[in-house]
Amino acid sequence: MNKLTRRELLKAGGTAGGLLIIGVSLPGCSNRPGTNNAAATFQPNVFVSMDTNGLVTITVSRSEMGQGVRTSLPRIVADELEADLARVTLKQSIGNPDFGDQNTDGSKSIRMMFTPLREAGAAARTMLEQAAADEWGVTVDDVRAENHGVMHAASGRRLEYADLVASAATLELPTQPRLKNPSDFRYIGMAAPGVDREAIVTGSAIYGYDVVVPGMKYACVARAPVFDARIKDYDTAAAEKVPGVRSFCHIPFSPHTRDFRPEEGIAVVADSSWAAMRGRDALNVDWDLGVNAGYETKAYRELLATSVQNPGAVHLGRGDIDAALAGDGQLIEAQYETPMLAQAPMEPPVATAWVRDDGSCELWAPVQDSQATQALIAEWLNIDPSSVTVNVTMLGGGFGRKSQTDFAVEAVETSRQAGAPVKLLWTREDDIRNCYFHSEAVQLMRARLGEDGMPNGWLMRAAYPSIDWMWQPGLDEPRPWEVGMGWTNMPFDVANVSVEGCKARIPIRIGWLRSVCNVWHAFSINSFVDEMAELAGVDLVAYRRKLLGEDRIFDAPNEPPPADPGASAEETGSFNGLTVDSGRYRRVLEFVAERAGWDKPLPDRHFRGIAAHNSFYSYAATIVEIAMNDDGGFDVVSVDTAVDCGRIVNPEGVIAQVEGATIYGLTIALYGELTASGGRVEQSNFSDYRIMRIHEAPGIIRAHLMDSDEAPSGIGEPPTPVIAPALAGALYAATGHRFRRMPFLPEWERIMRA
Amino acid sequence: MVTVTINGAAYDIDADPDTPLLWALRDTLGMTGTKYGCGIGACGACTVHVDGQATRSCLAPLASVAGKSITTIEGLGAEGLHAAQQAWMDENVPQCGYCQAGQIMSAASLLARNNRPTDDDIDIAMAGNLCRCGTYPRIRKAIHNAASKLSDAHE
Repeated sequence: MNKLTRRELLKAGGTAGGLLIIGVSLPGCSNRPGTNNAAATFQPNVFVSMDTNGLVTITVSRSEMGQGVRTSLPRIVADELEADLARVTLKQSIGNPDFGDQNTDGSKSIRMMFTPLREAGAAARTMLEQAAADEWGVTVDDVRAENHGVMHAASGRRLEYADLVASAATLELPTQPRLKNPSDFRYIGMAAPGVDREAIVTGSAIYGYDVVVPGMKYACVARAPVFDARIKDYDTAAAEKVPGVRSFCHIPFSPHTRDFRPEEGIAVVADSSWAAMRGRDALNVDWDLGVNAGYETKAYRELLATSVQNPGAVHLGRGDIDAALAGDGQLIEAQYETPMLAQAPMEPPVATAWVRDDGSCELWAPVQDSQATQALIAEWLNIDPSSVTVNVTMLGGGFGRKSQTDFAVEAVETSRQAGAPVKLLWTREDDIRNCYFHSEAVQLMRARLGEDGMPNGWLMRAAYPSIDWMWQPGLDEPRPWEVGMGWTNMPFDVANVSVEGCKARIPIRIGWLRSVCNVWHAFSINSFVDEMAELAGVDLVAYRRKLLGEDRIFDAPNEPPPADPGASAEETGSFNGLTVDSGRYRRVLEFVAERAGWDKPLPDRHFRGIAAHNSFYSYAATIVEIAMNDDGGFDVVSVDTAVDCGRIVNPEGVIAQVEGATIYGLTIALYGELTASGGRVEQSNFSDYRIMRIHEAPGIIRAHLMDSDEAPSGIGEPPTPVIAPALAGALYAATGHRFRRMPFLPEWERIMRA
Repeated sequence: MVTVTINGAAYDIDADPDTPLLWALRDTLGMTGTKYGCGIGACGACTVHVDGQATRSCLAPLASVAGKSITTIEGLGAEGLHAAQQAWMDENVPQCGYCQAGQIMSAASLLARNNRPTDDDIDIAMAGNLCRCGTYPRIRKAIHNAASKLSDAHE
């Protein structure tokens, strides 16, 4: 939903040309924005405005969850605008289709916004230049904007932006804003620290949990212990005795298509967070657990393992896989297993909603997709989306969880029933047990190696439930976009390949987690390459280079054609037509090998592994080094990651994302595991859902950034999926045991005992 | 009614004495810099100082802090930023930032008793503070940075 293409945006804005000028049309003068504005504010588009003092306001249309969009996106606008950053303030946008896609996921903020934001800044700058040229009676080609003013080089004259605002506001929008030459960038490509860091370190930054609306109540929900469980009855007697508890709101059951509608539950409304939580705990709910109470992790894993024994839907078929596998040479096979996970952002889901007497609704919440949230609430309340205001707070982490905004609807429904503003809080236990989980997956790899040690035929089969199952109840196998996260877009030049998605359903809610299916596919494909390389007796880097073959660029379509055939993947924000450049893959691999000294000997009892992966149009390669310690364990000593994410807007932000993704990846690889029994998730908090801590984190994380003039691509997710396979390689080097099952730590302890 | 001193000012808090300090700070006093992360003392996001000691406010009932002196992130840098806050800025530590108030309070408590912490000292003092964004390498650097700021100031 809300996949407005740029073309539609232009139509909506009523302007022509290749320019993103949207949503600012004023009555009677749609081509002359600002002229009707009493303050003579210059606002050539929704992203940038300037007041008569020359103070610039740049609107950030995407959600900040630590990935740094509030730092990086405005710098793109400011660069083209030739703005002095000291005279720029930021505004966080509400959910509004005028901004185009606001769904902050898929590592696409910079990728999608880079050109539109350059155009937005350049349009404003071009108009200011024109205003100065008019003032001086010269042509616009003779003047040049520089640091919040416009210069006329020939005469040495200069006018400040503040002096040009009023006249610029009367000019027509340029059809062709003049984009800067990248060599003239003043902010793009320069390292910048986070713009919100002072607010953060002083405790004044406002997250979803921190929202205060006068007169608001607090609520906490008694939640279904099993997915789709239904309430038979509930007894409020004990909960009513909790001081501060005021009322109880039934959140009704929502059938499929589920969207992000909440599960059935009882919201306990109270005067404080603590009273709401205690009241919830005291509430007695009699649940009909339903059919999903049969969900058992152990049995489910076996089901998936059985599924990959049978052929699945072919997503990539090259050559003749059956003949190749039946031919001469060594046959190799391995199975890889990964567990259920929760995203577990430090700030659990939370939302403050106010359904007013006039029927309108306002929300303040840490949501990754403000427009989808707006649409969902409008549908829930059966009102027009224009009556729903979604204010986006800072997100205390997202990692995919806050793309699913069931919690916002819960707050809305509770406010509606309570007749007051309500802050609805999820506890950590709610977050771990009632998550949109990252599913279990089982993957089978089988190959026949030729005399040269290279695979003649390579079969890849995966069984995991599709996330699209949440909208398509009958769906029982991975979708192309899911298998396309690391398998159908794999860069290796192998003659006979079959990539298959096998049958799988799951009786629980599932969703996105940082890098999504790449977690599974990068693990299996890299681990299996390691196994083939060993059989061939070839170094792991050399073997990968050989597998890549000649450098080539190819399209790896993994979706049906888009509804708008003219729309590119960049415009729709989808993964259609994913272009893969095997040369870029090779270069990050070689870069990390060189930087981390792959060919140099290691100290005694040190071991390392390597992995590479392309995802979200970017390329990452990682070397993990471990050292055996004296306690029979190991320490992760260092992690080196090379990334090619195209042109970099903020290198400091990219480095931070690599560091963070490394630790997120290590948590997944070493510790992450949720299990279900009787349909209930058995873990509940950080006490039993283990997250990496500072003393367990590697002392050295080095990010090696490739210089690139290619279009910007993703960075929030791509450095995540390489970590587990690189660590698995290091563990194999240390023990001679293949770590094919995540998480690795229980596996390590098992083999060390043996 | 429970009387406590918070960031140098006395407060009579009208809340059930069983209420964890965390929720009294956040809901009753509107000091939202101290964060909820787990409610069981497993993540450190709610760390404050009680009579100088780093304390998980989610586990400290109001009654247990009656008459004591509490410092929260809002009051840590009484005269401008505390050295740890400045070091956090210098090293550009925060990503999402949600855990960082708790991290800084734990670090400030460490620095108050040890102005030259080793990596091992940092591990011990900071192991109770989770960061899901993975800013640990920068937290370590920032603590060393703050330590040198503090010792420079004392020399």
